[in-house]
Amino acid sequence: MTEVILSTRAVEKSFGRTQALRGVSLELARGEVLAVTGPSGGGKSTLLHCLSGILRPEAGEVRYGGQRVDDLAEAPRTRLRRREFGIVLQFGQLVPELTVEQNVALPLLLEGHDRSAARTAARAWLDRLDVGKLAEALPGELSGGEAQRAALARALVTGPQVVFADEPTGALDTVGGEALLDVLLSTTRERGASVVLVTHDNRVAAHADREVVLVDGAFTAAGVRS
Amino acid sequence: MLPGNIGYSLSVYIVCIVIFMSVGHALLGILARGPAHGYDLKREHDLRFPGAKPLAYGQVYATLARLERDGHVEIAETAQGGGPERTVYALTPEGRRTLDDWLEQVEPAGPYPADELVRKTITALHLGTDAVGFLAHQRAQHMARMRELVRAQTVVAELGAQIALDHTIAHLDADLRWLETAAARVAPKGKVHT
Amino acid sequence: MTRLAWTFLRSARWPRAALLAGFTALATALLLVALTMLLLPSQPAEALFSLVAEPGLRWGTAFATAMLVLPLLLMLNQVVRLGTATRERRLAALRLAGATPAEVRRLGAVEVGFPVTVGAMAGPLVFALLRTLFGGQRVNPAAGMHVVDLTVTPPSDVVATYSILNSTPALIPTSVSPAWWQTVAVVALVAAAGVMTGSLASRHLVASPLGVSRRERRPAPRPWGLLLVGTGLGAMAVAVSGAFGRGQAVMMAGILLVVLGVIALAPWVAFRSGQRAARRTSDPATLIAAGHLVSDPGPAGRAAAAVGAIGIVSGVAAVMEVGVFFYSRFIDPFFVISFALVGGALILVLLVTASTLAVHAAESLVDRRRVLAALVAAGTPVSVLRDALRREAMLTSMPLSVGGVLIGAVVAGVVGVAAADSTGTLAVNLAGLLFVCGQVTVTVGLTWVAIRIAIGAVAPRLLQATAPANLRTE
Repeated sequence: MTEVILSTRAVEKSFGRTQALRGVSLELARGEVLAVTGPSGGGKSTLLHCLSGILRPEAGEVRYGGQRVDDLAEAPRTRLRRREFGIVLQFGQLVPELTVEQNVALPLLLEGHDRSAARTAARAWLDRLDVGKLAEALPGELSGGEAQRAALARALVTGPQVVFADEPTGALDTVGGEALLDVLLSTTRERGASVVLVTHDNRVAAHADREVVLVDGAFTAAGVRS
Repeated sequence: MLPGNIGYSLSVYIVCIVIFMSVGHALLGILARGPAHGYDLKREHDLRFPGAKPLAYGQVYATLARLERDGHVEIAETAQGGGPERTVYALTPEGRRTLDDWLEQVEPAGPYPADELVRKTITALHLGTDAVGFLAHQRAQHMARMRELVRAQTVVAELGAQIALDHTIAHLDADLRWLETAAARVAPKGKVHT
Repeated sequence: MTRLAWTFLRSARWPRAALLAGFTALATALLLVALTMLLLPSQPAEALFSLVAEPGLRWGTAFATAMLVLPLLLMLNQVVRLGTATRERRLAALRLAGATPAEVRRLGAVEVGFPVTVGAMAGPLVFALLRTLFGGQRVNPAAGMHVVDLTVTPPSDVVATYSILNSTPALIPTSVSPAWWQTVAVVALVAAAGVMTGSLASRHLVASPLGVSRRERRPAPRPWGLLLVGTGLGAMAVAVSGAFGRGQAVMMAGILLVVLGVIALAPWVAFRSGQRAARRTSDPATLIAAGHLVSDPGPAGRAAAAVGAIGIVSGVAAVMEVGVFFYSRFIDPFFVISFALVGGALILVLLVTASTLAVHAAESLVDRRRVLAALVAAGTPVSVLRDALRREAMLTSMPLSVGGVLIGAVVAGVVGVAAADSTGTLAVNLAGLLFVCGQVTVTVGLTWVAIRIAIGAVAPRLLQATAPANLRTE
C-alpha cells in the first residue's frame, strides 16, 4: 500500500512574473486519495497540471511509476495522460456537439479502438454511473450532476491509475456534490486507482486519506494521516 | 501583537456565544500583559469579547478570589482603604504555567457553541504567541474530526441521524473556514488579504 | 450611447475592421466596374476586349462582374461573425445593465457600419486603381477595327492585327465614367447594407438579454435551395430556347437564381455530410469535425458555398471549351483569353473562399477554447484537433465542389449535345470527354489544395487555444 506511484521533487512553475509553484515536493501512494487545498490563486490547479503532464515545470522533476515524465515530448506526454490518467474538471469539459456516449468513447477512439467496441465500453461506464439513459443526449441537455458523471465516465474509460479532479463538485449543490464524490471514490477504490483532489471545500477534502495545503505556491502544514 | 479591534471582525460569530461559563483562563491571559485592577480586567475582557455579555464585577472578583486561592494570581499591591476595587492583581509563575498549558492544549472540535475555542484563539493572538502554528494545529484537529464525521455519514442509514450529522458537519465546516480566515489575516506582512 | 460605440470600436481588434473595410472597398469597386461597362455607348471610343466591347456580350460581362461580389459578401458575412462570443457577452451585459434593444442595435450597427462605410468610400479609389491596371486604350472611332463580327471568319491577314487589338487585357472602360451621383449611390447603397447587417447581427440578443442558449438542438437545415436551383435552371432553359433579346435578361436571372440556390443549399450539404461522417467513422478527428458541423451547419456552409458555384462555372466552362476548341477548325484567341479570364476569376474567388473558410475556422477556435483545452488535458493530441479543423472545412467543401463540377459539366454537356448540329469523330468525342474530366479533376484538386493551405495557416492558433490557461474556473 505504500508503493509510490506519482511523485514530484522541488517543482517550480511561473507564468510571466508570477511564480505559481515554488519548490513543491510530494508523493502519492498507489490507491491513496490526496486532497490539495488552499486559498484561490495558491497554485492548486497549476500543481495538478504539472502532476498530470499538462504543463511542464521549469525546475524540479515529476515521476510516474519511477520514470521521469516532465521531460517527455508533447506526444508521449499526451499518450500517458490518455492511458494512465483521468481528469475531471469543474464544468465545461464535454464537447457540446457530440452526444454523451460519443464524448465518453472519444479516448478509446484515440487509442485506436473501432467505433462499436468504443461505444460498448462507453455505454457500460455510463450505466455503471447511473447515467446510461442519457447516452444519446447532448451535454447541454444534462443537469450539472449528470454532466459531471458523464465527465467522470470519460475520465475512467481508459482504466487510469491516477484520477485528477479539479473542484469536481464546485458547480454542484451539497447533496449532488456528495453523491458525485461517493461515486468517484468508490469507482477508483474498486480499481485501486489513486486520486488527487483539488478543492477549497473542507467537506470535500475530508473525504481524502491525506491533505496538503498549498498557499502561495508552497506547502504549509501537511495533514494528519488517518 | 494585534490591535484590539480583532474582536470586531469576529463579532458576528461571537454574538452567538451566550454566556461565558468560565472566565478564569481569559483573565489569566489579560494579566499576562501586566498587573491590573479588577476594574481594568473587566474593561479589557469586554473589549476583547464584544459579542459576549459584559462581565459583572461580582463575577470578576469571585473568579480572581478563586484564582488567588489556587495560586495562579497574587495581590501585587493594595491601595489605602482596602476593598476589592483598589487591589492590583498580578500573575504568578504558576499562573503563567497554567496559562501556557491551557494554550498548548488543542481544543476538541465541538460540541457547540465553541466558547473555549474562541477564547483560546483570541487570548493566544493577544499574547503574540506563535499564532500561525496554533491555528495550524487547531485546523488539523478539526480536519481529523471532519474526516471521522464524513466517514460516519457513509455508514449511517437512519435519516434522523444523517440530518444530525449534517448539522455537526456544517458547524465544523464553519469553524474551519473561520480558522482559515484568521490564519489569512495573521499571515506575515507582505501579503495583502482582504 | 454613440460615445460608448466609439470606445468599443477603438478597442475592437483592428484585423476585423480592416478586413471589413478592405473587402467592402473591393466589392464597391467591382460594382462600379459593372456600372461603367453598362454606360458604354454601343460604339466605344476605346480599344477594349470583345467581352466588354461587344454590346451583345457586354451585359453578360457586367453581370458576371457584379456576381463576383457574392463571394466577397460571403467573406464579409464571415468576418462580421468574428468574435461573436465576446461580442454577445458584451452586448448581453449591456442589456442586463439596462440598455434598450434599440441602443444595442445601434451599437451593432456602428461596429459593423463604420468600417464598411469607410471601405465603401475607398471603393472609388480601388476602382481608379483597377482602371489604370486594366483600362482600355483610347482609339479613334473612325479606325473601325475594334468591333468584331463573330459569325464571320476573318481573312488571315486581318486576323493578326485584329487579334492583337482585341486581345489586350483591357477590361475596364476608361472613356466613360459613372456620374458623380451614380458613384455616390453605389457607395451609399453598400454602406447602408453594411449598417443593416451590423444591426441585424445582434438581433437575437435584442430579444433576450441572456444571450443564446445552447441547451436545445438547432433545427436541421432543409434543402430549400433546390427550389431556387430548379427555378434558375428552368429560366436558363427558357432563355436558351426563347427570343434573343428577352432571353438575355432571363438567362441572367436564371444564373443568379442558381447561384443563390447553391448558397442556400450549402448549409444542408454541410449538415448531411457531417451526419453521414459522424455515423460511420471510427476516427476521432472526423468525429469531432462532423459533430461540430452538424451542430451549426449554417456558418460553415455559407463559408464554403462559393465552392459550389466555382464548381458549376468550371464544369460548364469545361464543356464550352471542348465545344469551342475541339469542334472548330480555327481557335479564336478571343475564346482563349475569355476562358483564361474566367479561370483567373475562378481562382480569385477560390482564394477568397478559402480565406473565408480560414476565418470561420479561426473564429470557431476562439469560441470553443475551453472545450478544446479540456480535450487536450484529457489526452487528445493537438494534431488530432488540427486534423479535425481541416476535416471540417473539407466535409463542407468537397461535396459542394464535386457536386458543382459534375452538375455543371453534365447539364452543359447535355445541352451542348442536344444543341449540336453535328457529331464529331469518336476520337474527338473521347478527347473532349477526357478534357472535361481533366478540368473537373483540376478544379476539385485546386480547391482541395487551397483549403488545405488556408486551414494550415490557422492551425498555429490551436496551441494558443488549447493552453491550460483556458481551463480557468475563476
